[in-house]
Amino acid sequence: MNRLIYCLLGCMLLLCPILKAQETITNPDRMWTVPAVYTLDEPVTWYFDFASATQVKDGEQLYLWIWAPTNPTGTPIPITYSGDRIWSIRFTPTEFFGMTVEELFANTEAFYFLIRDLDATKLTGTLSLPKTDYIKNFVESGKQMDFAPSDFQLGGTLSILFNANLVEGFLPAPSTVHMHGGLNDWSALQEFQAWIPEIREKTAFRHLGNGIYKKDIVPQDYFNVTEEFEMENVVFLAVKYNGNDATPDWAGASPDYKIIAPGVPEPLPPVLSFFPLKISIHDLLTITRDNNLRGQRLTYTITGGSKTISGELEGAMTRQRAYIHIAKEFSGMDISSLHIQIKDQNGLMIYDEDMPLVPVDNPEKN
Amino acid sequence: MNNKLRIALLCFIGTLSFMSCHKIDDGSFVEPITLYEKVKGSWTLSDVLQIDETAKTAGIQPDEISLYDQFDFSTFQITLDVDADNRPTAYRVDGNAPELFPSSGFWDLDTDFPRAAGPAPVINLYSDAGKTSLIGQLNISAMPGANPVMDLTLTRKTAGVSFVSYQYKLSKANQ
Repeated sequence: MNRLIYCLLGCMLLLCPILKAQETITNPDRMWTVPAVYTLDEPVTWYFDFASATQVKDGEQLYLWIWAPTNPTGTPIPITYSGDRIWSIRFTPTEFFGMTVEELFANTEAFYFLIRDLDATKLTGTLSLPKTDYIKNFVESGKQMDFAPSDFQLGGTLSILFNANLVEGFLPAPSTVHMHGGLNDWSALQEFQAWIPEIREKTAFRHLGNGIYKKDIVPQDYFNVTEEFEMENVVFLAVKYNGNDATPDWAGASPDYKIIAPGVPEPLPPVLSFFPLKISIHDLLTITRDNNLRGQRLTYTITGGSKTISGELEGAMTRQRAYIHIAKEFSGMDISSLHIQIKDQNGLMIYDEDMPLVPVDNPEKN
Repeated sequence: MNNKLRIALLCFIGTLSFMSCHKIDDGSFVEPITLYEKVKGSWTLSDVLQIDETAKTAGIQPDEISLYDQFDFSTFQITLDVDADNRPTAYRVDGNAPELFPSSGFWDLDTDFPRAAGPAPVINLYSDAGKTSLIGQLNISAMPGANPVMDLTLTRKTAGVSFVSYQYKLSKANQ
């Protein structure tokens, strides 16, 4: 009994210097992953920002001590100083932990770890990063497209997810799926030029299975713009490659998607209007479309009986307008409606409807 | 008694004679000023509004837009002629503005004088000098007063309901 007490006292004495010397490192100001959306079987980089941790010197060698889902090596794992008091570690979770994706998800809800020095004389409190099943969440969201992180930057990685199952007629895809995209409403482009093998490679989505596709891009590099470029949005469509390298071509595409850059106000939806609401064949018609896309140019075609007229809507992005002398153009024709089509320069049909011409009671009929 | 009656009778006759001799001075007769004197002549356009009567009734915006800068409306000029007696004769529209009502013919007003209440006076347009064949109507929605400006409004109706109006804002042309 006495021996046991002495033994315990001895242990406590031995531990004392360690306990006494152990210092708490202020937890990171911010932790994030790149890409923001990752499957557990692809490489990911974890970042730790120790801007406020006075206990850590710039560039000091720090270590990751992880115990959930498991401690893969039983030893502290060195992490890399990336500058600006940010440390990082890059790994592929399945390889790193020696577990399958399923095993990883079946384990704890999050990764639990701390950051310390080699001897554990200073260490952070318990830290965690969520073990998010992004793909499951994306599928359950019912969205055709989603992206992360929400605060993506021109020089940072943007993850884009695409659910081809929700685009009618998109599947089956004969081959790979590619991104045909641009910045700021197509003012800087990375088109899917199917006939160029390098472009096929650059623009390819990664198929995660079951019609779910993912692509990670750094907008500045991907669209080849300078860091001064003021990104307002990322636009793209997902395009099917026909898989025929001899006669490469598109084999179908999704609708257009637009991702608004953080801090940029959500653009107002376009509004098409006709003035006045009712017209006769003796009147003047004004067509107005507000909140157009950057660079969008609209044209109208109006058919009444055997006559068709066409023209452009004048103006800028916020408002484009056409004033049409219906009375002059269709004078004397025995018609009760006009067919109006409005398209943009890319052939996108914005309006394609009949407009009735009301009969007039008045005596002044020219 | 007879004397008293005679005196009374004389007094009555005397009074009657005074009354019949009283004469009121009315001055010489002048024709009253009619609306024709106000609206006659040439008028140029300072603005033209297209008013969506359907939208206005439903409270939808916009319910009016200016077309002054479109379709050469700015060249619009209307002349309402009268004869020496200020009675309406012919009218004509000059310029290249859209012809929303016939550009020439004859005219009159539905009233010679301003109405104290009720609808605004209307200019009736006719194709014939006899003024039997109506070809248009313009409401005088703002009457010339101290300022030589006038608004004429053409309102189109379908099944009795107004759906669009064109309001011509006019200034008296220099003559």
